[in-house]
Amino acid sequence: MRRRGWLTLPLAGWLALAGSVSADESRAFPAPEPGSYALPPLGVAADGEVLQTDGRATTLRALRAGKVVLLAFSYAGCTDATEGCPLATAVFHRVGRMLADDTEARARLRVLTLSFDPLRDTPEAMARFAAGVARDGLDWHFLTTASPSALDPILADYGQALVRERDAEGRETGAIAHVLRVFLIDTTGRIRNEYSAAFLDPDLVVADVRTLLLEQPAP
Amino acid sequence: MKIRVALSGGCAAVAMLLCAAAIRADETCMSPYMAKIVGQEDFIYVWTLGVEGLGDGRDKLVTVDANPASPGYGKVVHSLSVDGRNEAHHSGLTDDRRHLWAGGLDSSRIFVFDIHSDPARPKLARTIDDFAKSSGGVVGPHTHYALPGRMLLTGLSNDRDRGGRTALVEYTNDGRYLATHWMPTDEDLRGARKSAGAADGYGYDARALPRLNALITSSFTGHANYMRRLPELMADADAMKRFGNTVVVWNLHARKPMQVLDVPGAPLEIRCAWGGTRDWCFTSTALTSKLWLIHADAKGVWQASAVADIGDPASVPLPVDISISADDTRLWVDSFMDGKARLFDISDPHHPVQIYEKVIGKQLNMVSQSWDGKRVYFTSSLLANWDKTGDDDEQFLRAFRFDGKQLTPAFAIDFTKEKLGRPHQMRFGSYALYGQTRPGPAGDLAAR
Repeated sequence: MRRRGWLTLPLAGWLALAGSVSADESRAFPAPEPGSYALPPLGVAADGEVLQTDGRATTLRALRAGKVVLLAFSYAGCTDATEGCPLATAVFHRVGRMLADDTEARARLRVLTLSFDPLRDTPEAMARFAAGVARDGLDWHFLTTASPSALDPILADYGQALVRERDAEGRETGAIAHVLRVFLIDTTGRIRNEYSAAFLDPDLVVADVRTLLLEQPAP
Repeated sequence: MKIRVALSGGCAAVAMLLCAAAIRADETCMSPYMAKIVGQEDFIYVWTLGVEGLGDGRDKLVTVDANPASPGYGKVVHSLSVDGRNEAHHSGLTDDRRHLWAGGLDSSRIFVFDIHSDPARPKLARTIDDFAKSSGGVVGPHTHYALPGRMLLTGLSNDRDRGGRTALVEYTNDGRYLATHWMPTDEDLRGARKSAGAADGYGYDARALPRLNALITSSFTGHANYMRRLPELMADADAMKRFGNTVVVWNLHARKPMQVLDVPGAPLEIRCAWGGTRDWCFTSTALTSKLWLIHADAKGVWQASAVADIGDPASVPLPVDISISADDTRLWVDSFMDGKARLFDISDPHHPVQIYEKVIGKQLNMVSQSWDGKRVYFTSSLLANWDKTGDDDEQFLRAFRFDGKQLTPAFAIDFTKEKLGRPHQMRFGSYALYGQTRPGPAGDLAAR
């Protein structure tokens, strides 16, 4: 999909981007009808202890709470709007707008943004981060972990590889190179799709969310 | 996010490229979902067919040091043999580039190598032995193509008649079977719209244009043909009718075939443009020696157009591999019979123009180029039973520097003299992909 004219922006500028993530008329084939295709389970969504923006500890399993979940790994210092973490945030924002009239879908979908930079992204930092994001009615939680040792098993379970950038003297610069991965998790805790930046098309994400919701009608 | 990791010690620059629309260019022939090496590659991993009586006779992953700054430059630094001879052919990296999948066209076994723990010394992480059974009868795993968190494999054949009808098969990155998607046939088009010719159901390569939600596949021939000796096969008129004549355009997200295009003469490798407004891919036909453009027309309908001859088609040069430059303006085309590499200017993809050619060896198959196009690597082997014989059976990796006008030799490895076998597909490796640096002369493992 084409996203022209995006620049590397400070995080406060995300919302301006969100409107740019739109249905793409250049796509050769439209998003398929929900339920018309298969999303075979890729594996079990791993658990792990995380911290919420108020500092309280919980687990990913508890946060899933029988909902369809979109889980993105991110970090607050990421500034590459075209290809990185802000893209995931902007796409989620767009997903929220697309589901604005679908009360049931919004009620059954939860979005989790989990930092992979626990040393800088404290709960307080994640609270500031979250405050700059319009959630558009989405049940959206911003999370971090208590330490790298709490985070690493989660990253390993989800196959999220990172490279912490270093300068010529070998000091960490704060930038973290990674292949952006967003996970779609069904109501029973199975990973049903993964998206990289190229695949993170809001139309396709919404089609996938609705496909999972069709599998298990609301009680 | 795209971060170029320039590590101390002058190691490779690496881009964790995350958006196909933004990336610029076998680095130039990889899945757009994958981290890319945009600087100097450290290694070339060569998936190599074993030759009976040569060395240990087994298929092997050969690691070649490709960094001119290294004391081992141009040398084989590691060789890892697998069990038996499997008709080692193609290989592909996972999206996180931590593992290399390599298939055997005869045994249908898939070997998954860990290349991130120590990029200089790959390890065999797992072997998938039940490809045919899991997939419901697909054999001959060919292309191993990275999608987010999974691998998409093309088959060449099936276990019922060993003909060309086959499927796409998906696995998770950790080697668990996910799904099989059969190619459309006249009997079951699976919702696709076909052109005038037959929907043959054959398969070969696959490439995605993710921003268009499109996947393109090509078609070759089945196990019964590709395991026969080439002269015998070419003399069998009936067998020669059993080659693929189609390219299929799929809805990538739904994995549903949408259009079957007529591309006669066994269209093989597919290379798609990287540019965000270029809605096209190239393929070459082995038997008719033509370049074909697969493109969306103004109405969004996909078309296949023969846009150039490769050499003299009447002499059957047998074009095999192609490689597109990062800026979508150049296309290398290797042909097996005459051992030539030809370079086409594809600035106007509807009218490619050959601008250079060079004989690389007595036979020639694969070509891989660095992201900047300044280094081009060639290998010799096509298939065990199709390679030439006697003195013409040269088996090599030959590396060249390319200045935009001509190739200049950099180094060469004689795979027969080294008792390695028949070199086929090349994939690049780099320490910087994993935040590592090359061990220094004093054994410095800093940042590893």
